[in-house]
Amino acid sequence: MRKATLMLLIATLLFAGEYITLENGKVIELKPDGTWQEVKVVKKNDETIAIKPDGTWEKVQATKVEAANSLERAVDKKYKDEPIVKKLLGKWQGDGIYYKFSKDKAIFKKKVGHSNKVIEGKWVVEKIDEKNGIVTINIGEGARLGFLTFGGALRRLQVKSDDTIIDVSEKLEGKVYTLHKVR
Amino acid sequence: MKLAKLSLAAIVALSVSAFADVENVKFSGNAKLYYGTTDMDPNDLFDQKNSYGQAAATIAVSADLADGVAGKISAIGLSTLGLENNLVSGLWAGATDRNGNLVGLDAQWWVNEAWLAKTFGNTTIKIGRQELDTPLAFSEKWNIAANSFDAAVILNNDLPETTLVAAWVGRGNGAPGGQVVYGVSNGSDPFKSYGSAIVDAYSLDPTKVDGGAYAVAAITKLIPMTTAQVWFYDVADIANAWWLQADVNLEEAVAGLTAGLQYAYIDPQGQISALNESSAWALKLGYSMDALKLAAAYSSTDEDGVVPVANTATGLSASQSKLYTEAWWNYGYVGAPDTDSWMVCAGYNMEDVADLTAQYTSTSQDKTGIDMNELALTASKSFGNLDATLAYIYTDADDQNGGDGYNTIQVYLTYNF
Repeated sequence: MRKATLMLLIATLLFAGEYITLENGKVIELKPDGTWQEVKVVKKNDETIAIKPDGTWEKVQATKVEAANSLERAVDKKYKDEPIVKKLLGKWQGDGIYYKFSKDKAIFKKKVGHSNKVIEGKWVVEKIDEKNGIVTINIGEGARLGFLTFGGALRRLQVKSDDTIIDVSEKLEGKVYTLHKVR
Repeated sequence: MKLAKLSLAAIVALSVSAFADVENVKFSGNAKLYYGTTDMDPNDLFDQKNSYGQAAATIAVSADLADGVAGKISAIGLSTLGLENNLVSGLWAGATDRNGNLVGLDAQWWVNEAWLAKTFGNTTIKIGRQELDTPLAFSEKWNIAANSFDAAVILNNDLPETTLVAAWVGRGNGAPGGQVVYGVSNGSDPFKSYGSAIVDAYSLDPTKVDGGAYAVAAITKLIPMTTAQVWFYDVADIANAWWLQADVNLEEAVAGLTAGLQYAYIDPQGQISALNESSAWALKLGYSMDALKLAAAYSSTDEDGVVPVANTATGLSASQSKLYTEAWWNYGYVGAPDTDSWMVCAGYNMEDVADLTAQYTSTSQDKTGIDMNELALTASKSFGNLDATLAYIYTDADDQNGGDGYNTIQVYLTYNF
């Protein structure tokens, strides 16, 4: 009986939060006192964990919390409605490099030696640097664990105009690619 | 089991809190399997004696750390997978260690990149083991493993549309003869002082060549429609060199038209100062329209030169050259002294089918009378995470296969993860 009570208490604590996914993809916890706080949501296998600003964490129940159900979709859609991100949609071509963005899928192709390196799959906007017009995106990632991503390609694209983007992903290697929109 | 899962979650939570400023941590890598075969006399295609193959795996992690610091560490491993037992008799890379011992049949691995970069305003300093892409000292990526360098590089963008570069290169693992990287045996260090490949080629005194190399450059787009670059190299006790290049976008004249001009000059110093200077120039015209790309180029090297105009990081023979005319497969010809070369190529991207390319290269070296002609046809296609390239090469060179032409078939498979 004591064991069952203890398990019930733990379960109650674990699933205590009320979570909402905002349109911008961020996840917030609604507190009982009417206030809210943003949380980082970590997805591991089938489990979802909300990490609060104070470092404590809470397991999220998929059937109960919207955040868990829509986490993957929410991360995919994050920032997608920003005007600077919408400009990326379409085909872009530069010297030995190519991108194709649709709403849900992206293709990144680059000539490497005698082969092409092709990364294809869903794309996620990680960050927007409004000042410099740089959009950081993750294409075709295999898995995500908080700020850790596995597989795919992380690219930084500077939007110069409707017809030109600058790929600054390899700026530290001294390589910058200019790409033009393929009409 | 549940306890283990919760512990992992707790670790993740603690990690997120402790590294709140860390962003974009990316684990990635690839696995490669490369195979090639020729029908050089007296063998046929796919005979073990004329075939070469190898496998490689690379695992890397990169991250944006706090305060504008970025970093990356990457390790690569090579293995024959036992192909030498019945399919191949040669390797792509790392056949010998830096002392000339055959080590390529053993499994081997090394750290090929390990660097930190810090950005201050418009200036970035990158220090550590890294790949480089400069005209006369670069990582050759056509092979299954690319050479890298222990170096410090400063990039500055204070001037508009201009990048200034200053670099010091201490060591590299570039190896001559087309193997690109030295192999590793029992944890040995494959990296040697920069310039060692040239030291070995001329049997110089290696104790006098330990200062590495310095390079400065300016790359600018200030000239309308033009990307211009000027590089100066000082390889301690070996050579000073210049590389000038201008690539012009002639879009306003003819849509899709580009042109390029290159000039290179190498002045031997120190122990090889008695050698004549080498120089080369090259022209290129390119045209692209939708999925079609065309290019034609011509180059000529000085008849009195000795040191080839090619990658100084991988020795003097079979090094790749950045001259526009460089062949698809037979490196070491276009940059050789007293050589005139021309190249035409076409590429077509058949969307959802394959990328197709054809390149023809012809070189003629007057002082030796050696001509080389190469036709390379390739088809590249991706199947999910697997990138595949099939290549056919016809080579007719006076110094290969007794002067008779021969065929080569190559398969490049890369699985990205």
